[in-house]
Amino acid sequence: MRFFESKFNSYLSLFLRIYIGGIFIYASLHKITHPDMFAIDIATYDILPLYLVNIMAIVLPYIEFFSGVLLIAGPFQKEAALLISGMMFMFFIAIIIAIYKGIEASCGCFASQSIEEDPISYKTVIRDFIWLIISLYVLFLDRRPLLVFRSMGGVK
Amino acid sequence: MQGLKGSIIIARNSLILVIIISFLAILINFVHPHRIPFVAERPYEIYVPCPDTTGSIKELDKNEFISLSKDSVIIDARSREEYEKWHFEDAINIEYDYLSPICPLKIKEVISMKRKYVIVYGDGEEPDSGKELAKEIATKGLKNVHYLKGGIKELEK
Repeated sequence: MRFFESKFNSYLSLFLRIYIGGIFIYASLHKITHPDMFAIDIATYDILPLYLVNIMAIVLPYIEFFSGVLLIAGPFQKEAALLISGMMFMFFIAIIIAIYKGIEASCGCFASQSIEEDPISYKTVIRDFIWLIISLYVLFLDRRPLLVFRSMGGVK
Repeated sequence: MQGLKGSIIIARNSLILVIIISFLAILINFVHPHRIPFVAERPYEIYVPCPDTTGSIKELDKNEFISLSKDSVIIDARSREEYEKWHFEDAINIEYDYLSPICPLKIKEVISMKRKYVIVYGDGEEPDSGKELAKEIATKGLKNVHYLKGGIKELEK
């Protein structure tokens, strides 16, 4: 379709990339500085076996951070969009499982928040679903991706 | 669209990125001020909030309890052992725990019985486990939830 080849779509996608990339960078910062607290958040979901909880808490925040940076900056933008879509899908499923299990806790999405500020709820499911759709849009429909740093190349 | 070849390259590059970033994260963890071991040595003590017991319920005396019992799901909120020693006819056991919320599957079980009322009786102590469980069930959206004042002590009289 012509729309997806247009410059308007490139700029729309750039806006969405900055939005989602910014969220992932922001979400990763507290987790990177406090992996011990993030490990408790992961354990609260009671989905992963104990031996995977810590390694997940160590690795996942850095994947979030670098995916966010690459999604915004442009190089490996599709790879970053794939990783973010994968993570969003994983978070989406985890929250649904947590709701089904009746777990009443903070969603741990931004780590520093309490249960009152960001509880696991259907609102979280809807929010994550919207972010999943946005990341899939960038992955599949951003046909002429703009690069933030022109020196790295860009749309001709 | 990237085509199949393009998709495979993106997937391959993503995997390489994950491996490089994971390696970097593990290295940083060695010098991190809040570093954690790769494998937790013991299960995390997860904070579980107390059950929400703010639902609206009605208090019943023994006579009201008996008269409504045929149209009701009767729930025994005491421990499994106490329930097995003696329980009211057709009562089901949902042990009330002051620290953990009731399992959603138990609520589904109560709903699936399709009775007019839900009546809970507990240990009759202060606080009464029956009253607390009734409030928690009512909080989950069920209507016509009652509890027997005095709990099991009232039934034993």
